[in-house]
Amino acid sequence: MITLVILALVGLFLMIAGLFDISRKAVFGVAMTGMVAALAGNLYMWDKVPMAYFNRMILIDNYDVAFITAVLGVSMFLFLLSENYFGKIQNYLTEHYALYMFSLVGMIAMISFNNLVMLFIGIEILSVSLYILAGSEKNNLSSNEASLKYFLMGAFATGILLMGITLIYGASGSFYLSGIEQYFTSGNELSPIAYIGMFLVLVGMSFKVSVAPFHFWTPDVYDGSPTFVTAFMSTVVKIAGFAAFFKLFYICFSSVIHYWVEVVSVLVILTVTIGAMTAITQKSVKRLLAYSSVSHAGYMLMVVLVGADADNLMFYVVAYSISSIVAFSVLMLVQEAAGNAEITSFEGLAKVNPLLGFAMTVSMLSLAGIPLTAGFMAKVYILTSVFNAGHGIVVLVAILTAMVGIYYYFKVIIAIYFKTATEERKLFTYNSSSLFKIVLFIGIIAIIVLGICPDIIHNLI
Amino acid sequence: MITLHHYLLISALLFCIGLFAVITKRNAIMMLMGIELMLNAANINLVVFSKFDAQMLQGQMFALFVIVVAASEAAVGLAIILRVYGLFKTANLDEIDQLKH
Amino acid sequence: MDKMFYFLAFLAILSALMVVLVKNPIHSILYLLVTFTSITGHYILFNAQFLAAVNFIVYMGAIMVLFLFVIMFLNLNGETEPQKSTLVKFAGVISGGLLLLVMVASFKKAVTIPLNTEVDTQIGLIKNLGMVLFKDYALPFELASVLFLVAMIGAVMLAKKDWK
Repeated sequence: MITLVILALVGLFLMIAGLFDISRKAVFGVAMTGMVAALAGNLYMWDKVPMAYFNRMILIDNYDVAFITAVLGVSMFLFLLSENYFGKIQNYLTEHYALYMFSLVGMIAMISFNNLVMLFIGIEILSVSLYILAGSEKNNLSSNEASLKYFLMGAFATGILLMGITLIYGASGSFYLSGIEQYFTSGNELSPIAYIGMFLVLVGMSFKVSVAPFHFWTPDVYDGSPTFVTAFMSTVVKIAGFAAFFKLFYICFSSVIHYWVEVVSVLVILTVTIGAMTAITQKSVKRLLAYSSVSHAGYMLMVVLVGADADNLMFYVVAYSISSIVAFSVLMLVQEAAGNAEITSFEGLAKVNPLLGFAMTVSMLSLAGIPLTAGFMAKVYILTSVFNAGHGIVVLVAILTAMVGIYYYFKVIIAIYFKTATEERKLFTYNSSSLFKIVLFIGIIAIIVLGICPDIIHNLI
Repeated sequence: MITLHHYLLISALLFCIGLFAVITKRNAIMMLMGIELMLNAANINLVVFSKFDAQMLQGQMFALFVIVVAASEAAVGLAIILRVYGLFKTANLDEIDQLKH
Repeated sequence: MDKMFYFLAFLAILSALMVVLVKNPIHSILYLLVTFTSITGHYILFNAQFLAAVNFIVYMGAIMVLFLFVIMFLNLNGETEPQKSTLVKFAGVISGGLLLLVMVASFKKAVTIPLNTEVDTQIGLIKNLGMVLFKDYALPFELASVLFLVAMIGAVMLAKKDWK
């Protein structure tokens, strides 16, 4: 609760600060301080009795605290690596920061919702800020195109999701999660309206978290947006999206799991397959990461499929987010130096700048799920629980596509270590400050430590 | 006698017409109009179901929030469309293809 | 009452169809206005008076005028409306029709309570809604202001010319 208030106030404060001539460092400092304060307020709620606020509009228990911590922690980590991104913004700098703060408000609302109104408003605050951020490079054609496509698909998904919510309301007579849960667990024959509602909500949420076959907007939007925004969308936003997705299905619909388990398992299989198959042919690392985020969404959806073990989801999103952020931050530097995000721009990176080459390699290994990295343990946990739930085929497909995944992640590693840079590229200076290096270093250590002793954050919830 | 069915039928029809518009139209503004139709169909549902709610007003309340959301989406969406039109000189999605697949 | 309902329902669906079928975007918007008018009529039949007023003012007064403004501003008349391929049209008909079929079939089996529009005609007035809004729905109400703020920043950021 206090988290929500702090972030909204910091956002407002930043907008007002934009009136005055305030230095970039100060704006950054205010935003970071706000996020630290919000995080502290959030952690204070850990292991308390679940509390409901504002007439049960939001209800905060350990699940919510853990995911809000993940969202805030990952966005702080990302912000520390954002120097180049924010440094280039000429106009409306404080407004950019305010938009990020407000989108965090939306995410917290959608994680801790206890009433579908909160879920709906939270998703909308988040989406509307992202439409704007995606198009924030105003004179860049790709950025504008990404923004338009994201907007049209996002609004379309909102319409479908909303229709689903209304039908569920019609069947159960309540927007409160407890009321909906009561209706579905009552054992009475369900109204057909409830099925259609459930199905439409599933489709709407799948659109929002880019699960195949509703993922087709993802590559274009992720490719066209500024790289920092892409990193934000594919990590922080994905955590919030899946936290809400899982919570909704776990609390409300898990008692009628036999009605939707087959649909979701088909979605999982489609997502991991399409994500891996289409990534093979990509020549741009940014697009490759976009497709990889689609196939990782498939793994996260597996937790919804099992309908239990929120700590697996927690571990997966953290492992995936840290690996992705390290990859994206290296990509940002390379993109700035080389002018494009092609794999060829990474050739010989290990010789020119060993730290960046090593960081990219570790993150690629983690995303591919190689042992001793966080990504491996995350996959093991999820696949074990899926197997125990009796979805052998899903596990089989996931392992096969993970092998395909190793191929395209290694394409980048081979470019970094076994190709030589052109003379021109050897002279590139990768504009990284010491703060950047320290944070990158922490990221690498986190990936390896989580891979060796995952219990640090697994089994927390 | 008017029953619940009649209203559900109207909202389903409006929703599907909106869906049809989003799928077939290539003009960004026309797609946005289809989306507005879908949101309105959902609003009819909310108001109708609100009749059967013990508290009577939850559905209507949600419908108000839907209007809020529709207004802010339309504002941002039209700003994006204006921006895109300024750069591409068209609002036709088939011609806006900087990003290749 | 019944006649009123059938008239409004007919009007809503006919004009919604016209929105999709006419070529000229300005005509589409005018038909959309008719659709929204009849939906407003339905709200009044349902004792949602305040919602009807909001729908009238916000949807038809603000949003639709914004649409009209943008279309006129961009000068999108009938000729610029691109030719749709028959394949896309076909896909649209199939997906829309299938969803409609499933929905209608499921509604057939749903509860068939006749609607009684006589109870408490005052329920949709500002006083009752305000009580619910500021008691139960206070937090979403505040968050709606954040949403508007975001939309406002966005519209200004995107639409205004850069100054440097």
